[in-house]
Amino acid sequence: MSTDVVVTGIGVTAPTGLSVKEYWDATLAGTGGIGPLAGYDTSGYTARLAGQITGFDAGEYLPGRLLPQTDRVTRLALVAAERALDDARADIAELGTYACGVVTSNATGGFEFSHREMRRLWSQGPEHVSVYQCFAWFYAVNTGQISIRHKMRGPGGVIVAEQAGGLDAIGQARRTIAHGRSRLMLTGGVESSFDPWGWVSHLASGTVSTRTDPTAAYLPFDRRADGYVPGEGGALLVLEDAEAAGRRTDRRPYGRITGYAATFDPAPGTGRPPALRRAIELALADAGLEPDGVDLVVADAAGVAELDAQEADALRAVFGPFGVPVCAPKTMVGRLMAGAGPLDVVCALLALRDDVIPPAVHVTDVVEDYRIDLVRDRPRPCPMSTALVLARGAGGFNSAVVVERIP
Amino acid sequence: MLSLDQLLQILGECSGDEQITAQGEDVLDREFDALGYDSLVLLETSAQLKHRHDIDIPEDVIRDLKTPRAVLEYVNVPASRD
Repeated sequence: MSTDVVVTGIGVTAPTGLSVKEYWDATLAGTGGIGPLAGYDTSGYTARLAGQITGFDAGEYLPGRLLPQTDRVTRLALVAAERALDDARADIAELGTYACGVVTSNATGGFEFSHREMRRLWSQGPEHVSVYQCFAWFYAVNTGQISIRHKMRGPGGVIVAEQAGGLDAIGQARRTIAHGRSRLMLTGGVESSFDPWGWVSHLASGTVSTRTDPTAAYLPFDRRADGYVPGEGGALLVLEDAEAAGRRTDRRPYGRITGYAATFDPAPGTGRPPALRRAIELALADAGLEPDGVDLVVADAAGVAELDAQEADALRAVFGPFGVPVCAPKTMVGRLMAGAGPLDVVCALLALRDDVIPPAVHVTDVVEDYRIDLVRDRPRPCPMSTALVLARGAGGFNSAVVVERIP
Repeated sequence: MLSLDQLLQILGECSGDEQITAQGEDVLDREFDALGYDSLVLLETSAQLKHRHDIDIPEDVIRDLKTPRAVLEYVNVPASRD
């Protein structure tokens, strides 16, 4: 792909911060955002820990008119979108309303909103269901509301691929710009589904940790790995053609998106290997890189022993034993589904900017056989220019994105 | 009888526009379009009119009622329903 696509703006809504700075400071400090799920009685559920965003009052950030028609997930997405566009100093009217598009990923939709309307449906009848239910629950709602609010009428879309989808959205946005179909794309993913109905849907995966100690519940690559902790939030990024962005502003972009690939695992029982390794190799090939050109891997970090072993296998196969530093910032926020990949891309961009790798918190006993160099305990300073971000979605999705620092 | 205040209260809740109730008669003849209320706000409003005041405005009718005055006249003047 010959067009140079750069990241010119970032908006973050994470359990550890509602701004890029807050999130990054907390991440380097190893501050955890995982705690007991608040807001209702969770004593009847098998799992009770989540990476929850606390103290978010949508009315502080958004016009009142958007509130009756939006779920929490869309409110978080709208705030991240506004901040990303502000950060990029992008004026959509000036760039052209049809030249700017939105592609986001979402895997659970607006659970809280739907939950309330379903309750009305069964207790009061169909006439009492809000008309806004027709879109407020829907996977595409974040893309739609962002597009409407900022008058971004160019290419639009939504990608649903569980936890891998956020990277796929970034890949799709990059492709849209590279093919000349848009001048600027807002992309990434934000997820939130922690009302009781949404919570049960998380638990249905069977891989959510049932531990109650926030320091012991989500321990990817650790001998004690016992499942994951779901999180909410994510990140939205502004992507632009590098040359065009350079003409528009002299602000330095965060970095370049230089590679992307997605693969799908073979059906269970076929005996064929998982496809994560192939996703890594294809993304590196897309970026024109050899494995030794990668300075950092932001791992998917499933926290489920079998999946951790598969990821370690893929990393060893491509990079060799202990061949590249691996980080798992998710240990502080949980697994954010569609929000996870984009937040990890933000983490990678900031790590490259500052030449420092954030630690995986609470992981003390990495399985020796994995032979991976997981950065733990404290941030590791080291010069870096290229990072690989991985995400895997339940059901067989594997995605990989390569980001590079602008020299 | 549906009062203007009652109508504006419902419109305000359905649209999330908290200012509308304070404007009173100033908005009587302003078109919903100009107030920024789309067809969904009006559908939600008609649902609430039914629940709270037992007033039934068919979907194809509410589409043609362009202003708060038009809604009040349709609801309060029986002849306009024929």
